[in-house]
Amino acid sequence: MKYCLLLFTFSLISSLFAQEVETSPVSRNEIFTDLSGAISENFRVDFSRKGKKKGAVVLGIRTRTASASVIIDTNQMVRFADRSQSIPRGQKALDISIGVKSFIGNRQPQRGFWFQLTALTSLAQWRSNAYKEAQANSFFPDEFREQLRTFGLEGDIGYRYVLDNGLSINAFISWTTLALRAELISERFTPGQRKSGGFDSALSGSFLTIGYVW
Amino acid sequence: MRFTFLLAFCFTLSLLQAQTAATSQRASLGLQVASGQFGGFGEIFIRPNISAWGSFGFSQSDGQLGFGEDTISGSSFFVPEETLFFDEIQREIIVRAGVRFYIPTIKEKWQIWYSPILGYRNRTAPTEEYAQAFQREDLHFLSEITGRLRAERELQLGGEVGTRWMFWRKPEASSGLYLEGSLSMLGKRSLLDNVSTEGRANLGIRAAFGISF
Repeated sequence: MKYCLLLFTFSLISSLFAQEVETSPVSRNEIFTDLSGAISENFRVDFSRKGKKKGAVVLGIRTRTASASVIIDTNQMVRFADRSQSIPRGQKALDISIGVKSFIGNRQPQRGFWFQLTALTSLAQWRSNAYKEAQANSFFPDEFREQLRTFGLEGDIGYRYVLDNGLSINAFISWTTLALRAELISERFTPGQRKSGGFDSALSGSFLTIGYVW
Repeated sequence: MRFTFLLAFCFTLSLLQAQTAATSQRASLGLQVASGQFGGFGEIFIRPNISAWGSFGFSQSDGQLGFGEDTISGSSFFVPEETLFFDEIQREIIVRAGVRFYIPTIKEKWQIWYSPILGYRNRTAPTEEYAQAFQREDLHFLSEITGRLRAERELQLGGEVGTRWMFWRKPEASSGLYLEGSLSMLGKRSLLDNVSTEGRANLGIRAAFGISF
């Protein structure tokens, strides 16, 4: 992983030497969305407003998905993997985020590296129709997992390239840590057993985030 | 989904109009290693610094299943009495295509490029021999959990950044050998019902060796 980050940083730093001189005036606003995340139903839109110096404030809204499972059989003779059914993207959430971004170097204000720190929390969380349907047909139809409010922190490092027509492309790598909490709505367990939670950390990002700068 | 691809297509078109710098390459062919896969790569330059490219990767995976003595004692497992090894139980093919935008650097032999990627991955179902062994009644509990393999088909969309080093090149011509490395970040979507894919985009690494002419 260290080698990956090193190679990525190396290749992007070198591109700094290849840029033409930027002549257009500095644009302060940018709106951008991640296309590569959209095919896995992780939609996001972010708005960035740059300050007078290198910093910017970034407000965003994004969806998040996670797989869910329901128990369809309790027979010990049945294969363990066949006793439950997995529902891809069964749990969904809508998150809002606020972050601060800093552009590194000011020789090319429209093109260059940036890093960002973001705090996020869930605005709404719900189950997909497929999950509800699977749950209704499961061995315990009245039992489901309800997500509680999620909090998270994210760090990004990326590179932005703005074309003359205002179109921008961002490539970035993110490290996201979410504090996830859930409650199993079930009569079989005590209130203490129903609560669950933990931290979920992952490396991710997008090399196909496009936007518009003005 | 359609809107996403339309947006990606429009974006690629606008990038095409933005490039002006020139190199003298016309095409290239190469061999590549990408995340455990071997394959090939080819590109044709449609403008001096822009190429349309396609690649493929291929891999096979082995596996094993344990049988007998699967009683759980507390939180530990008893070791299986018998373990069977299976060769080449699944084959995987990845086909990718995109448009590369090369950026010259201060070094003539060294280039940096960026490319949007559209990919398709197909992983076959496990062999019949493996599937039958998985149905044995004395299958070990650990193999029950980890041994269920399925066919997978997914669509991939993302981007890639990389560097190309022309380590041998005739001064008066464009032909030469190259070595390149890249990083990709791809979002994925399963094309099969009830088969989950990663919820997040994944980082991939690739190295290639080839000839440009």
